[in-house]
Formats: sequence, C-alpha cells, structure tokens
Amino acid sequence: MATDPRSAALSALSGFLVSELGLGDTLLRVAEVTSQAFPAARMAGIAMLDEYGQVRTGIYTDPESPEIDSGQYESGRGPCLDAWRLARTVRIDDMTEATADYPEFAGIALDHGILSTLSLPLIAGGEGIGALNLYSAGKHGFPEDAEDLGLELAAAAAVVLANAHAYWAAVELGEGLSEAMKSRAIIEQAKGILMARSPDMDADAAFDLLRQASQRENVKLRDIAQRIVDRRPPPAEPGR
Amino acid sequence: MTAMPAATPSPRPAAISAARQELAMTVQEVWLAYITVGGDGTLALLRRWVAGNAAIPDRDYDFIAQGLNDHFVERGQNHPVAYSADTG
Repeated sequence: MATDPRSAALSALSGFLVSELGLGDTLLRVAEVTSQAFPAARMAGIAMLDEYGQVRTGIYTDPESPEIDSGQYESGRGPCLDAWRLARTVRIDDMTEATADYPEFAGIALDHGILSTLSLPLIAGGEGIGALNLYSAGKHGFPEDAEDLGLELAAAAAVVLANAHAYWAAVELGEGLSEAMKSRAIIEQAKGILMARSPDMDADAAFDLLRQASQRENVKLRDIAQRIVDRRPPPAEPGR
Repeated sequence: MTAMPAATPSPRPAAISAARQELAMTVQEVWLAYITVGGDGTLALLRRWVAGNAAIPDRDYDFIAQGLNDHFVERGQNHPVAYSADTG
C-alpha cells in the first residue's frame, strides 16, 4: 500500500480515470495530488493555453496562484514559462534573489509571501502542453532532489492531462454532432417539402431559398426550416 | 515563354478567419456549424479550406457562411459573412 507522498501521488495519478471527472476537475485533482507530494507546497497552479491560444493559469488550488502568475504572462518571462519553453524544471530557492531574472514575477510572488517555487514542464507525446507551478512560503521549500520527484510526477500528470483532454474533446465533438444532426434533419425535411411543392426545384435551389429567407428575416436557417416543417406562415411584415 | 499570372488569394479563407476570430470559434466548431446546415466535407478537408490549401467549392462555402451567419444571428448581427455569389 502506498504510504510515502511520492508513491501516493504516483499511485493516484496512475489510477486516474479521466471520464469520472470533467476536464477542469481532472486538472484540479492533478494539481492537488502533485502538490500533496511536496510538504512545503502551499499551493499549485497549472498553466496551459486557453481556448484563445493565450497562456493562462486556469487551474489552481488557491486563487492567489493566478494572481502571482499574472506577472509572468504580462511580461512574457517567468519560471513557469521557462519550464514550459525549455522543457525542464525551474527551481527558485530564494525569491529575493530572483528579482534579476524574473522581476515582475518575483515582485508579485514576494507580495504574496511566496519565497520559493518549483516549476515543472508538462510534456505528452514529446510536446509541451503546459507547466505545473508549486509555491512555498519558505525559502528552499523544494530541495534539489525534489526536481527528480517533480519530473516523475509531472510526466505522469501530463499523461493524465493529455488523456483527459482527448477524452473530453471527443465527448464534446460527439455532443456537438448530435445537436448538429437534429438541426440538419429539420433542414433536410424543409428542403424536401420545398422540392415537393416545386418539382423543378433541386436540393441546392431549396437550400438557397432557405438561406435567402434566413438573411431576409435575420433568423437562423434551422428556425426557417422548422417553420416550413410545422407548416407555419412567415411573420407578417411590419405595416402590412 | 509566357509568365504565369500571379495567383490571386481567395477572399474566402480570409472571410472565414475573420468571422472565426470575431465569434471566437475553433475550426471544429466551424465544422459543426457547416455540418448542421448541410455540409458533408470532413473536418480535415475544412482545415485545408480554412488554411487556404484547397479551393472551397461554392456550395460548401455557402454552407460554411450560413453556419457562421447563424452564430452571428444569435448575437443580433445580420449575416455579415458574404455568400459565394458575392465573393467570387
């Protein structure tokens, strides 16, 4: 049975079933599990690209974490960004000595009482997908041998994250396709009704009719189609 | 030897990109919008169209434009993406 923090964290990460939690909850759990393996860690945050392609600490165990990281993203320099870019661990033992390398980040970190950090690259399939930051209120919170443990945990965490991302992307696509097919069935039915009314009309011409009505009335194509399927007349024009 | 005329970049990928940016839609979301209104091209093909690596047939472009315009309608905007007859 796993008893030490390292074994407990690795065991938790390897036993992760990504379908049990949503993507956000999975990421948070990964941050929590990794953080628990380091006794000095006060909080943890995961930096990844958001849906607009911007780096953001979207997952954190404490809301102070994204506040501290904001100094990195605004300036484009910081330990978390370096860990991600260079695919290596970045350790700051004494934040008061990091003001030369990372002035913006160090300034905000010190304001929040953070005196040491450990930044771990998250690499899956040979590609950097983010970085995990651990923050400590004491100097030298993460000893030198913590880097090996950190890399080991980060590797396991990255696999969980990549699997979770792929799983939920597939779920999202499936749900999107299901919705798309419902709307499409209505649209195809409406096209069929229009074609039956005018034997010379083909499917392309029927689509054009729907499209023009959508544009004229500023209504979604599906709603125009639904009206035809329901045999409802178009709304009366104002003043008529 | 006659020089080949310089290829004119199609305005269609640019129109799709501009709409995507304004709507903050991923390529996958654009593909779902395209499929919703009648498109039957694959996601991989749509990626090539969006990247400008393959010409977009008129009918497929109209499906893409309609799918995007339906999203604009939800935001109260009236069909800002031009259809094939207007884009050449």
